[in-house]
This record gives sequence, structure tokens and C-alpha cells, in this order.
Amino acid sequence: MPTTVRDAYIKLKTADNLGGNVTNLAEQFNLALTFFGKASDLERAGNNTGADALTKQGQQVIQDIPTDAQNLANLASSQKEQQNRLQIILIPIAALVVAIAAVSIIALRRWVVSKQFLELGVQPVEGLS
Amino acid sequence: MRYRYQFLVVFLVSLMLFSALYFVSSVPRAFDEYFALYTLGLNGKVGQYFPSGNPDILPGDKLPWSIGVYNHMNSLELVQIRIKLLNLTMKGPNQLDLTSSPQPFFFEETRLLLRNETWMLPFSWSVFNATRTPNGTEIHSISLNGNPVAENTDVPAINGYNYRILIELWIYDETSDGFAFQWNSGGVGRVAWNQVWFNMTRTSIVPS
Repeated sequence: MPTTVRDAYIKLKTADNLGGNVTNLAEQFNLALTFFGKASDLERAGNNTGADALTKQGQQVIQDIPTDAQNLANLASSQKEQQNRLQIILIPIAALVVAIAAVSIIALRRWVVSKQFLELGVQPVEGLS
Repeated sequence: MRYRYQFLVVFLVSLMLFSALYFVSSVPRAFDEYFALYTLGLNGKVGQYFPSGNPDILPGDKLPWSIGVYNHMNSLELVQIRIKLLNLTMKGPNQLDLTSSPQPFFFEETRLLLRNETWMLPFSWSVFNATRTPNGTEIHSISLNGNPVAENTDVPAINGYNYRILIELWIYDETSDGFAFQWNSGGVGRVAWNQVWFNMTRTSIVPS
């Protein structure tokens, strides 16, 4: 496999594994593969000029993919890191919110119960002398 | 003051619970990795590989097939379809030792597949040139998507019986920097291939 194709593929795979959206770059990659495939067909048929032209076209399409994929990988990596950091911060905040809510409910319940108790009047029990 | 103890308990329990949830969600799940390879006939349906209903074909009979590959490998993959023409006695792929057919292919197509992507490759073909021999039939060339292909298509068959179109799936392997017939899934080697049998027994082909 030509080095350019291999390099582009490896960079695309890395970007994809890091969660980058490589759909557009994959389309470009496949377009380049189509050019290379047609170039091979022409070469087999003896049309070297046509084959060279298609190979050049393919190389033009594929040449920027490694750089773009690397940028995509860097972006995806930093986004993932940021997301992880945010999640780690959110855990104690969520726990704090739950604790405050729970204690507030307990306190409110106690207050309601004590208020109900205080509102109770003293009444004589019938039948007692 | 009197709620301090309850607050601390609820906070610690919630902290542990949320941390556990975060940990569980970040652990990668077990994933069944595989490729699916299939060959479809007329109108992209299983069956109807021979529009006339007869697998005993004639030169020029158009067979509008398509080949599908589905990537369920949890990563993008570079795949290649290789198509070969074989007769009954030529060695096909071996499912046990995971080897491909040693016969050379007459057609190959490479494509990068995203995760969970399905690739449909149109494969409309017919026998372009075949001759009668004392023993049967010999195919010389095939018309593939409108273009004649004569490389690796010289295949004889006794009485014209038991030809097969063999479709193999090859995967790019970064370590060896080449396409390999087998891939690994959970430490187990796997391969994918299809074949469709046909005959060419009738006499309306050009006698040699």
C-alpha cells in the first residue's frame, strides 16, 4: 500500500477511535481510492498517461487527509478531556445537591410534625371523673 | 447543627453512588466484533441470482448481483472485496485453517468503512467469451459492470458443470501493511466469503 494511503488511514483510525467525526474525510479517502483503482485499470489496459493523471488526482485528494485527521484527533482528544474533567467536577456537586435536598426534606418534615403537635389542643376525656 | 450528621451521610453515599455510576459508564462494554458479507441477486434480494431462473447460463446472460459488507468492528476498517472464478476442482477458502482460495482474483475493490457502515458494491456480470472444448467448456473472459475482464478468468469445467463465483473479504492489517484474509475477534480468527455456483453446458457458445 502506498505510504500516503497508509498514513491517511492510520491517522483517520486514530481520530475515529478518539471520537472525532471522520465521515467527510472518509468520503475523501474513498474518492482517492476510486481514482487509484481506475488508474490501475488504465495502467493494465496500457494507458499510462491516463493512469498517471488519475494517480495525481488521487494524491491531490488524499494529501491533506493526514493533517486534517490529526487536527480532528487533537480536537476530539481535548473535547474528551474537557468532558471527563466536567464529569469529575459534577459528581461532588450532584452529591452536594442531593445531600442538601435530603436534609431539607428531613428538616421540613420535622417542622411540619412539630407544628401539627403544637396545634393540638388539650381536651377533657369524657367518662373520666 | 443537628442535621450535620445526616447531611454528611447522604453526601458520602451520593458521592459513592455517582462515582460508581461514572466508573461503570466509562468502562468499555463487551462488543461482538464481526464483518458481514453477503451477495444479493436481482433487485438487491436474496435469491434470484439467475433472472431466467436457470443456473445454466449462456454467454451474455446478464447477472445483476450486488455484494454487501457490513462493518461491526467498533472501529473504521479498510476492506477489500476480491472476486474469483473457480471450477469444482479448484481449491476454495478453508474455514478451518482460515486460508483463502489460492486462485488469483479477476476483480478487487477497496473501501474504507466507518463503524456500523454497510457498503453495497454493484456486481453486474456476464460471461463475455467462452469456448467448447472436448471435455466441456472454458470461460475466457467476463464482462463486469460493462467492461470486459480477461485476467485470471481462463477457467475450464468438465461438461460445463460446477463453475463458481467466489467472493472473499480481505481486511487491511496495519502490522503487516497488507490485506489479510482473516481478522481477529476476541482472540479468535474469522474469515468471510460467499460463493454462487453456476453451469455453462449449453451449446450456443462459440466452438473452439
